[in-house]
Amino acid sequence: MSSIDWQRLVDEHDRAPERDDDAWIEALMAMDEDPQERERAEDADPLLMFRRLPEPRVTTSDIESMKAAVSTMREVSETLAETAPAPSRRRRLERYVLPLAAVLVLAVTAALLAGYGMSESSQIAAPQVVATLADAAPAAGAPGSADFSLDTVSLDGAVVAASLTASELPLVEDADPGSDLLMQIENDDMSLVVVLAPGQDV
Amino acid sequence: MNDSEEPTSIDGEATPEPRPTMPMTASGPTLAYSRSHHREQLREASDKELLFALKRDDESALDELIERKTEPLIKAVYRILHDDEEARDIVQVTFFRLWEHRQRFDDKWAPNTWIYRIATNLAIDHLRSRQSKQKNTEPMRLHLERRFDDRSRRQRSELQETEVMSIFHELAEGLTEKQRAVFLLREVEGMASSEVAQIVGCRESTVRNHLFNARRYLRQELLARYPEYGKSYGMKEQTR
Repeated sequence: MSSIDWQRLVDEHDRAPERDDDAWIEALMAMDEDPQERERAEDADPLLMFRRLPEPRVTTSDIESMKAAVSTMREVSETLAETAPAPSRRRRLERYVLPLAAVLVLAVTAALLAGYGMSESSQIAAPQVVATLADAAPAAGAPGSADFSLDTVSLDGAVVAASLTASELPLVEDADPGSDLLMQIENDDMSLVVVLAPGQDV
Repeated sequence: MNDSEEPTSIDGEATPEPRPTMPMTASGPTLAYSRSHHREQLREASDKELLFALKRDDESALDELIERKTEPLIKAVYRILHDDEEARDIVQVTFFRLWEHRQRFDDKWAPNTWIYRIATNLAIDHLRSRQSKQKNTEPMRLHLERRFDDRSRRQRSELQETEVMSIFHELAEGLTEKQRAVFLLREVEGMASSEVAQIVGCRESTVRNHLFNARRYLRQELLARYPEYGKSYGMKEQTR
């Protein structure tokens, strides 16, 4: 006959389930080893049957598969980390290279449209203005209302940048004069404004 | 290679300095380096030494940890998730995270606590996402699970482990993810409350509350849904 007073132990465990009581731990060990003890224990507390929850079998080949799978995950992660641009490089790209590339593309496209492949009547005039907020001295007031003073840039003889006055400059809300880029191409039929604002993903 | 020769690694590079946390032989630190010798050293190293070796980017230490911890982790996560495949996936990600976050480990953590914390948190997150996905299919799933009710019921002592598992997971549906994890880590895995608190990321008093509520709820539901398994307990309650 068991000497374990399961009822008392269960009552104590119910009152303070967080306590690490030696008598409780010893009783659990006895229960795990002896089916009759288990029966008495589960009579006192049916929740103890959950100590019989099954355990999946883990073989040596499972462990080797685990090593291989983890190694693959690490390799993939390292490859991705190597191919992805570092944050600083990405920021540089967003801030300087992309806007510069966009300006060049627009300028070259405009020059090409002005010079080639169009009849005299349908030819689009060279862009009148290419302005950057970054070039402007920021003045008080809303962004975009600053007075601009731009150098004129000549591309194959076509004027692609000129001075802007405050009234000519379109109002762009939330533009950051420090880093955002504003380009405006004007002719008789259309007015194209391009804003590159890396901070706003635009 | 002769032991008296200048020690070199298998890559032909100079041997790294003796590792301070690695055990020394009786005759002092071993100078010759070979991969197999290094693995032997790792086999004798404690879990903490392995985690510090990880911090030095030692991939063999990760392999050694995988050898030691795969089985207990799969068992623990399986009990939380009740799905063998998912448990293995979670343990795989646990080892990957262990490697990715190896620099974050420090002396204040017990190694097991650190590793179980990663695994348990992943399992809890998985359980949450699974439960939100299951909401739509809940009626059908419950219907399938209740098939167990229709079978002729056996004595509690004759229940197979898988049947105990089905009963537990049916009842545990009413617990929060943390209550379930705390109950399993404490009552089934037998971990100390302080360790459970660190693993789950809460105070010991919160562990106490989770345990108290989980035990009360599970017992109440067990007696309501499976009265035959709690017969003696139910009678004891009535006589009180």
